[in-house]
Amino acid sequence: MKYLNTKTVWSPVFIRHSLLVALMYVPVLFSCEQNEPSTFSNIITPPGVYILNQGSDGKNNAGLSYYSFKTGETSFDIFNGTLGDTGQDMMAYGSKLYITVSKSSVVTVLDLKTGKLLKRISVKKDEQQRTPRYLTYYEGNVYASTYDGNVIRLDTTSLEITGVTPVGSNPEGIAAVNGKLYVANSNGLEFGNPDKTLSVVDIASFKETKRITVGLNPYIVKADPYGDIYLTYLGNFNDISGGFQRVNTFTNEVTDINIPANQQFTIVDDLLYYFGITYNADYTTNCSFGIFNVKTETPVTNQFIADGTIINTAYGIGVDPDNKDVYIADTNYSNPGTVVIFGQDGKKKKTLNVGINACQFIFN
Amino acid sequence: MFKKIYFYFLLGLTTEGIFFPALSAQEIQDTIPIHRLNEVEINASPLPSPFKASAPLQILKSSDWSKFNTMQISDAIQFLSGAQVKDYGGIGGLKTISIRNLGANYTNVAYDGIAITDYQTGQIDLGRFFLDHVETITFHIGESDQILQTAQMQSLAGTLNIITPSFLPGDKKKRQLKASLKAGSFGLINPSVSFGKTLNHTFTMHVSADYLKTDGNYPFKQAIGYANDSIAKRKRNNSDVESLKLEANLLGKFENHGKLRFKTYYYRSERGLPSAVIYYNDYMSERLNDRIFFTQASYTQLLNEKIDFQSNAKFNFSFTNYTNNMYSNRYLENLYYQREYYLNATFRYKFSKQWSFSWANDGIYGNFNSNLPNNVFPSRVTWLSAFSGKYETETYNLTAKLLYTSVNDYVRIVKTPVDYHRFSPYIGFSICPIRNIPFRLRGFYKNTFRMPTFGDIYYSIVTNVNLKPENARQYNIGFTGSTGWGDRIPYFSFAVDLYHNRIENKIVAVPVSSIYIWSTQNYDKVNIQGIDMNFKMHISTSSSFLWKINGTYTHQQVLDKTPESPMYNQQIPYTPRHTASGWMELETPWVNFNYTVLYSGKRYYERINRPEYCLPAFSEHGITLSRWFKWKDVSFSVKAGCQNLFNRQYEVIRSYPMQGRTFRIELKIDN
Repeated sequence: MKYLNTKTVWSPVFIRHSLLVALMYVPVLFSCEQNEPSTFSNIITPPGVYILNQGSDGKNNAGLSYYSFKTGETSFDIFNGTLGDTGQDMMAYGSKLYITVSKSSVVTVLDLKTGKLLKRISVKKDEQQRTPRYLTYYEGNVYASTYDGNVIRLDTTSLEITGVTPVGSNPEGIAAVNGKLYVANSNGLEFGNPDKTLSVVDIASFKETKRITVGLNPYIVKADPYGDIYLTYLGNFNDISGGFQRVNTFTNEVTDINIPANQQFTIVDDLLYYFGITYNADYTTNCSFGIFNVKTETPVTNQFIADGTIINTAYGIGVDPDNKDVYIADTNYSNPGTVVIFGQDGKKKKTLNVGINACQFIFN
Repeated sequence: MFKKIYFYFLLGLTTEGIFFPALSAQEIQDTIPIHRLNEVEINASPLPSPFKASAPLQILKSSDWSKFNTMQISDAIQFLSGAQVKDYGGIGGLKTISIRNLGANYTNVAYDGIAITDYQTGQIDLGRFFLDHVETITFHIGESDQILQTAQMQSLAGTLNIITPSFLPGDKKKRQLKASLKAGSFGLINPSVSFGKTLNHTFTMHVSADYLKTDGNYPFKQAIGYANDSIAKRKRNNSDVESLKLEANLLGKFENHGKLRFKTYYYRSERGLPSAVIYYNDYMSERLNDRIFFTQASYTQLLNEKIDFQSNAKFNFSFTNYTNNMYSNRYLENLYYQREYYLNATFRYKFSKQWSFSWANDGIYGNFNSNLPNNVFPSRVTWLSAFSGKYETETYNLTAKLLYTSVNDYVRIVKTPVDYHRFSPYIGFSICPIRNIPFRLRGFYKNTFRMPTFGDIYYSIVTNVNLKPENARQYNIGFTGSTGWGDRIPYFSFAVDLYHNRIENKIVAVPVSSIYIWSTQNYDKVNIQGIDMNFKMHISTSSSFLWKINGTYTHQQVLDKTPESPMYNQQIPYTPRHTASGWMELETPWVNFNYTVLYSGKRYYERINRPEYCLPAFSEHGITLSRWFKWKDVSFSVKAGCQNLFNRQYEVIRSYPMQGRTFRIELKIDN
């Protein structure tokens, strides 16, 4: 026991140095701070608009903003960060609001009036994700395209998945007309080899009945009140650019429409509001905004914005069904974006600060 | 968004890698003379002195980390100031090093003095380098004062050089055998063996093999929502790793004063690629299969009293197989191949005792191939030529370098490829203002740039061949000193550096129509200013107790200065204002006790600094007990440690939870 000198160990010098050493690290021990809980107004005061913020990839920060016309306030995220990853589509049907949260592989259902969470429906095959994308409804059921190549059917009362039917690869947009679902097969996961078909699914038998060839890489599909389907396609981002088409659901005839639409669009009454994006030689982008009349099947304007307001990267478009104000989401990709509200005259009325990648609008 | 999945791996596995390639940033001064670790391990070339260096230099030795509970190089370098490790968690998760927040693409990672490159992402995953069979790690911020080196080692903002042991002829021992076995939490098993032998008067050989297997499925708690509305208890899955590394070295020391070092390296791994942990979805399906082979030779020859020269050559081949079984009916497989041929020659002319000059020339040819549908078969020819001058006395140390770079890309398909030429200067000084007082002032300026990678130029969805290189300027001023106070504090050293970095033409992925359709553009400006501080201290409390204490602290501001950007003056993602690290070692006759701590202040994970996008500050503590025995000629060592002692649940990267409390034991035999 040559080394065990208790006198040394307990000497004042030893204790002093030990204490000094311990003190040096004390700030570190106490610096384990937590995030302060953020406080937001989560109260929904209708009328107003729900704005779905897609969030950033893999950051679990999709969110739902609400702009109340009554109070004039915009809440940043009524979910306070719990929505999930990649908010993709949002739809109101009956008294409920449906949101596909793609990467989280859930369909989140809210009460449309109060914004209260009713159910988070897990969209999985055993443990495997299905990745819900776009939504539509038809006679008491909600349908969602899922990236694993299916369409799922949700019962709006039980909020359970009641059926799954296969369509093409990586389906995107979906619309329902006359007992049929039209689903855009993108094959988007296989980059460089996009699909160019719409799957037609008979709703009664819930089976795919045929495919219609459309533009390369079909994206958003929506139905007008006159039995037509409108769709945008994205092209291959190289030599084939995107565009806009109409499908007559009686004859399955596909017509190219020469307007600059190639992204999201929305149909309110007889008017279709769209935007399109083109690339310049220097790799910057141009956004065009326009209106198309689906009754007369003629363009109304290809230059909707009348006051020179600049939108950098348009990401979503919505129209207030009451006063016909047009909501255009502008994204800067990784920071909270803005929503610019235009009157029917194309002049800016207001700008809202919302979450990251605002993309869908639902008015309540 | 999902269309981007293809490119995850291609562009650095994560979106952070893509969008903030140069936005990711810590050091330790050491003035102790190089000591022999044991009788057979000595350095092939002497290590430079951190005390006299014009730019911050830190050295970690195996004697330092042998008492830590560390395994991967990325664990050890967290104790260097100015090095920021981006860790995606787990043994298999991506780990990159960034110097003072310039970004991983600005760090040269070198193996025995020859840079490791990646044409795809420009970032080196340090997770694949283990500390067994590594003798020294040198970490230069700015530039080394060594002028007999390759031009490539001067081409970036700093260098992490991994130096493996030399088993040289002339050593007393004729042969050496080492074996170790580590085992730990989450099914970790890591046997390792090395053997060195003197072949004759001229040659020695050294071979090593490492095998690692872990299931890696650690439990963690995930806070859901900005206000931590609920805590989900989850388990990491798809985090398993199985890897094998083989290395063979042949060293020669010739009678004509020539030295040869020949190395062949082979690594293969099969692992799950643990992606972001997504709320409400546990499914993970990405897997990675790597093969890396390289062979390199370095030859140094004294030509006459005034001139010596060095030549380095390397051939590298790497193959990556990325698979993603996203859905039951869809299986994705991407294959990536990279080849590189490298040749260097450096001449040094010692004009006088004080003055020396060198001229280094490097030629590099690299190519890339894949089964991607938009493959353009890019290849790149890089010529580097560096002229360096050095003036060195006891009082002054002045170094100036000028590097010329020429880059030519060749592609089989599309448009006009890159053709780029440029000069980049370095100037640094270190002065001892008062004779015989071990205190020095130092400073440097360096202008450097990073070429866009093949991923940046040719594999974004909308390709941009007009992409310009990123430009970075580094300014540093600091002082360093070392002293001791009697027997109680036999050693004390410190260094303080103030720095300012500016990045222009930052390469950023910009969406062009939706977040999954993007193009890379020169877009951003970033200003970085900070202070790095570190100290090292030995305290002797009695003849048999020795305390060794090391600490680092960094304060920095990394601000987005992109004009007219809504993010103007916002702190860049993943750049904490405060970071600190420390380790303390107590040597006693019975056992060695080691305590480590890492601290990181709050960070933001988005480019706008909203409180919702804040990652909380964390500190991580570790303890290790070790002791060694000797029986005849064989020494045994036993080590047991615990990482993340307080089981702190934290993330370095958003949605990538880190391991909680982890135990590990290690047995080592050295003969």
